[in-house]
Amino acid sequence: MRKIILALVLVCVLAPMVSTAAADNVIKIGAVYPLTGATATTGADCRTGVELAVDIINGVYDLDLPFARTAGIPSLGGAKIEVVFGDTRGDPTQGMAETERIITEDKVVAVVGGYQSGVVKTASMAAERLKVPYVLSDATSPALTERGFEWFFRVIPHDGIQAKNALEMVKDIEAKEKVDIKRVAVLWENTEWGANVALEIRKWAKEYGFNIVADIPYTYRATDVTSEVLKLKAANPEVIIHAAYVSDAILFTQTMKALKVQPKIMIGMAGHLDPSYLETVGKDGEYFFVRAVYGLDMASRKPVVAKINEIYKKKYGRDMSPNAARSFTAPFVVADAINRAKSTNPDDIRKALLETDMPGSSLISPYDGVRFDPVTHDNVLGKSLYLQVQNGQFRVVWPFDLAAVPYVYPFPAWK
Amino acid sequence: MQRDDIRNLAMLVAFAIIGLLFPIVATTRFSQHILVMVVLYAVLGEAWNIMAGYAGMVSIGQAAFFGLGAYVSSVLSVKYGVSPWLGMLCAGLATAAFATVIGLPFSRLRGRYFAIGTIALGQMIKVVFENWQWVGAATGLMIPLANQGFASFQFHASKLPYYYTGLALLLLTLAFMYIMERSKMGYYFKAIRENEDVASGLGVNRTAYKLIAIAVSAGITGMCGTFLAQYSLYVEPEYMFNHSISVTIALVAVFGGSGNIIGPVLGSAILMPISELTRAWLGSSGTGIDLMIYGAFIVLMCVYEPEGLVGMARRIGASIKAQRERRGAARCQNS
Repeated sequence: MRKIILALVLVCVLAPMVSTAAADNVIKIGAVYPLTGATATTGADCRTGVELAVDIINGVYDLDLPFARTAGIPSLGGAKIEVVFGDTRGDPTQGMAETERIITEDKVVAVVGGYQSGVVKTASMAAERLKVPYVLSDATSPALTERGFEWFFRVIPHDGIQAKNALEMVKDIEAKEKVDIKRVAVLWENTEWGANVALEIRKWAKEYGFNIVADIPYTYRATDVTSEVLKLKAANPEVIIHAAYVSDAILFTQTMKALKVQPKIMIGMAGHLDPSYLETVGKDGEYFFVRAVYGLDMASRKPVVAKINEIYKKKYGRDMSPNAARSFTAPFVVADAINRAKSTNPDDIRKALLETDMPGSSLISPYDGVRFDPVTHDNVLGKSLYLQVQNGQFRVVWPFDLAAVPYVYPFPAWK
Repeated sequence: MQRDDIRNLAMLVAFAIIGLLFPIVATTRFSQHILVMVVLYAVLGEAWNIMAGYAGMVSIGQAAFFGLGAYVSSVLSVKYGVSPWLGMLCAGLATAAFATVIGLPFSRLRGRYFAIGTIALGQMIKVVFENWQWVGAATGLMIPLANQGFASFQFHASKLPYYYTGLALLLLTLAFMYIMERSKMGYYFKAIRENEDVASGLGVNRTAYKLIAIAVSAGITGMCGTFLAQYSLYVEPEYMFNHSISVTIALVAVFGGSGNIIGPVLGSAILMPISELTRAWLGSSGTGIDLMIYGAFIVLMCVYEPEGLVGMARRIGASIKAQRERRGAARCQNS
């Protein structure tokens, strides 16, 4: 027995000594994701997005994306990008340790990824302490960019912007339908995310001249929401905005149907996008608007989305998921900065990141482009999409210039 | 002083010297991180040891005390600008006080019921903090970056100051346990562990001594919470009250061998590097092989050496001694 233990110890000790020698003209960037643990499937999904992005940057592809037609980084003699992955296990301490490890041991010149806001908090802190740029394209907590970090950049719009977009969509529908919508209800689960969404909705409702007629929090993973829904019905809102994870989204949809709550516009967030939501509520989920930052449907206005999805499908055997699509963007932003900096010095990359100005056409996301706010380093051109469930599918309906199909208004009577 | 005592003391001193000199080998940031984790979990394992190994109250909810300590110092530092060092002291005192109050009903629970109770405690306190707006609820608190140095308890350039701070905490804890083991208190703890009713019949005030064990254990655990909060500069309920912290603490102590001073230190010195190194080498594959290797170690240990590393060392020591005696006896016969 003792021999077996000894052998195991030896394997563990000797394994890392067989390290591969780094090739010349390779630029290392780090990517940290929860590759094991409860969020492992999501982490693996995000990883595929980064891998594909780097593939496209390094290889030659006939695509309308930056770095696709050239191999590697042009300004550095076609230097290839190599990704070093780190496993956060979904834990903030490990996320920090892994980020530090890949920065100090693998000498990566920039870091991307994270996925979970809580883990990104410590991982980005590690990058800040070690003065290496961190480009995030997949976590949305507003708190992340409120810290005034110098080395931290976020491409994806945070929850606040996504909430603001919901009201902008209502405004657009109002104008197009020539109706007057005033009464908005906000329904939110009372953890960090839901509370932030409600805060932003209140702020922007005031700005856009809506009245909040009901502001109803509820406990995450509620078991009965009849009283909440009755309150909602009494307020008689024209628009219902609901921040929910999947189980609450299902319960509220069913209760609203049972009590015949009849708004003109029904907007859901996050939970409504989960595949199990539509599987459970079926036809009752029809005509809900749901926020997203990616939809395969965008291909009708952005042909490159379909081409990328084709390559993705060939490689991984499934359609590109919204999570993979989110992670896909950050490596391009980093490559763009390195290319303009003509250097792999982290400080030069940071300066180049501050001057980033990528057009919307260079992305598979619905953003108008990438340009960072000089103070918060949030992407000022970030924008979310709104999808509508039509015949059991999520179709892009807003912004109108990216819409695949027209929206359905008003929300029809429950069947 | 008896021979055994001298040997133990010598071992402690040797440990201290090894600990102080270790950073000469550990020059990279990652190896320093592993060292920090080793000392942190060694202290946590020792704290668990006081309560479970000596006084026989097996806790699987140490994260409750750990998180509470992290929050006390972080709230004090973020909201009132109190120095984290003072915060650490407050964290220790506050968690000890909390544990005493909680300990009153808990000390009536025995054996597995106590363990179940502690699991529940860990989960309940997490829910409270997830909903408590004043301490940031589910968002948690970020400790703002400050200039590094001992005044701010933040070190950015190197992790060694964190390591030495943790080592100091470990040596203090070990010294305390060394004295405790030789005092009346240590014997009372062991008596309660072996048979509560008999101990009580012999005049040991069991409630009082159980409360002392819980309070001391919680106080040290709370201070470790402050340590991790300053190390990662971030507290969040899901992070600080995570059940896996409770499990790891118990694991480290049991793996090394509970009920004696050196066990948890050995356990942490073996388990933490395995956990960190397997993740670093194999974690990026995303296949979970690292966790399987880590788990295999623990299973092997539980199956073949339930007494932990200390038990293994004792057995090997005994067999060497027996062999020597046999050889000695053989020599006598030959001459």
